Amino acid sequence: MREGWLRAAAALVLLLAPHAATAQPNRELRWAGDPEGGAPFVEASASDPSQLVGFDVEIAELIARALNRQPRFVFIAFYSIDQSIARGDAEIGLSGIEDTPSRRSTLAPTIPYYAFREVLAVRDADANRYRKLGDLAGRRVGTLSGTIAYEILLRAEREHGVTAVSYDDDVHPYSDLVLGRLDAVLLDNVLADRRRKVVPGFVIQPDSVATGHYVGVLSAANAPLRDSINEILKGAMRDGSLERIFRKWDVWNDDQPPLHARVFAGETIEPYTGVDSTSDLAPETTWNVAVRYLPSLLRASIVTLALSCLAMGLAVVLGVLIAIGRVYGNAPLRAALLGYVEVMRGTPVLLQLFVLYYGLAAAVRLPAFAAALLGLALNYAAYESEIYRAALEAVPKGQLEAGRVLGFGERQLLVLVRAPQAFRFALAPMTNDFVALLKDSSLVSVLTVMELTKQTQVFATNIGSWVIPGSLCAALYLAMSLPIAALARVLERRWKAPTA
Amino acid sequence: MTCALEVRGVQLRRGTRAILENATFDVAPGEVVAIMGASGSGKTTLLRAIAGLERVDEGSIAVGDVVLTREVTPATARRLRDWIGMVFQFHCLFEHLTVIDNICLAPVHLHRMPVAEAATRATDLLRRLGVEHRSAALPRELSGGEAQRVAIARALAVDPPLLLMDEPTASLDQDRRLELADVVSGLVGRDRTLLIATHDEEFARAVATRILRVTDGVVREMT
Repeated sequence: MREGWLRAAAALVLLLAPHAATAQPNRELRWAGDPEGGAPFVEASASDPSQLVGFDVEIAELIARALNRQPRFVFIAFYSIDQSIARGDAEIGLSGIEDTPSRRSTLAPTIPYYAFREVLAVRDADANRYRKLGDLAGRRVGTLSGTIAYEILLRAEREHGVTAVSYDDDVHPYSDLVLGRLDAVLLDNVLADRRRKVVPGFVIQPDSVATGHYVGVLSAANAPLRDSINEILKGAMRDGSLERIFRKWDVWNDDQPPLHARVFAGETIEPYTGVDSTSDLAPETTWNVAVRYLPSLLRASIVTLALSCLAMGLAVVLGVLIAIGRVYGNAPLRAALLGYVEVMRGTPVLLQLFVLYYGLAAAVRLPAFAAALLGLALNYAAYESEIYRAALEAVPKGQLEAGRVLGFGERQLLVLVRAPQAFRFALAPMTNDFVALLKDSSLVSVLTVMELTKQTQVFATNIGSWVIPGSLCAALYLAMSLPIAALARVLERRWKAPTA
Repeated sequence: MTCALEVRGVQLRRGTRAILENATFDVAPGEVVAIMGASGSGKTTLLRAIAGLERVDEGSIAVGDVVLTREVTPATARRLRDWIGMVFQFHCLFEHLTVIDNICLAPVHLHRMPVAEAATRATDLLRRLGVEHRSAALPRELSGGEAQRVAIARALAVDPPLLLMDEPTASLDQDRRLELADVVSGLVGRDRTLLIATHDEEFARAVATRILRVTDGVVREMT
């Protein structure tokens, strides 16, 4: 009987063995990409949003198939792909990732699998006016942050006086161009061509500003896997499967055969061409880059501080008015103000910023800084109003009755008795909110405002590490928030101190 | 300006509970009347109703030429303020202001008195009440007796014909009660009527010309 059980168990192990082998985690190829605005690289399928489509999706499948693995997609924000790959969240990043000197020095990029051009897009009416970056002195030119194009624009800021505007996605630069918020967009021809099919009103200038290549990125420790993938990509170039993928997505062009030829010939392929080799895009030491970025970080800190102070000032004024309305107003006014507070507190500030800047653009075309200021102020006003309302209601009833018996009307009571006492109750939570606002101001980078966190992100992307940029950024935030907290403590102490 | 008080058939309820039942009495100008009663008997509510802080359900209260009934218009409430001053049981001094600023607040902001004049008068009041040396203190730094005197000074600063005092001896020890009796006696005059709610019979007998007793909301003359 016992032998029978053992035989059955052994048979079960044998039966399960092959399946166990295929279910091992290393049979998956985890690949990272960003489907947000990622067409034609990686995007959610229009017919089935749970499915991903795009030429990078098909290249990932091609590589996984050749490695005898199952592709598994890992969603990583575009600007974080390098760091995620380095820390092992996925084995390869494929999302229209550009070949750059810093990626070559910190990661293990694959061979280039696609050649692109950085092209300038301008409104139809400006086609003859703005042909190259040098024509755009004093004009706003948008691009995706953390890209070669952004670095080119930073250089053009110094050389030609253009204003570089950074975006987190590649969709809104073109809509803002048509709306008039930008005068030009510098991005890959793949993105520009794709956008032009759906957004009318702009043209792509024929002369390219620079050329570059897309690569897959792996961590430096994954160099052996990278070598295997290189062979797979070469094979796909040779047998035409890569060309079929690009043709399917309508991105095959005359730039690709020369790239394939150079790959087959074993030539050293530079990351990009058309940009001065002594420019900021050349490899630099981390220290040099830190020194180069420090003025930008300080400028971004000023933006953060100015935005936070102005937004808080406006939020305090609006918050006081809302709180007074809620305490003294009639029933309809109280209901309306409660509705406002609940809507603003119950929806993400990021969504509110998007609606204010992009959603209302057809009706009200707010400049980015004004939209950021208004968005933060309107959101924080809701929170402030709750603090002030609670503080007003915390003033003892006896204080108000004493004032009424003396003959004060409600308005005088508010100004002379209630508000001064309520302000003391509100001071500590207000300080807390101001420090929170200082940090929440980083959200406005989605509206193209280059504040401290965004500038740090650009810095980190450029050097491929968060250690120095993150430390500098943290130090700057602390340098701004600690004095605010200290000032609040002094004020609290002063008002509590005996005067006799 | 002299102030007579006439309370006629005042009823005041909280839900189904009657706080005041047909309260009826008169106070002549210059009188010092003590209203006595146990805790919860309704004497504080009666004072608050006279001060316009509670609305009566029935009856009327005439303070000088102002008559309070069930409906009190804002204009009536404003006119009442010319007649009345009140010292609360827990003083209710404005916590954010110093003693001198507490006293000057109404003269300066309501009666448009120049700040310097208001301060001089406030200092004089504090001297008469024996707390001049505390003029720069904040309310939380005062003892119960000091706070009581400052509250009296604040009420007197607008020179009200009718002064209401709610449990003035509640937070005072024996010595302070006697001192307060002297202070209150010093306030009495033909131009000022005093109505004092207290459960302290000794104090009441020391200062009052007449004593009323409130029992379960009913006001009776005490012999």
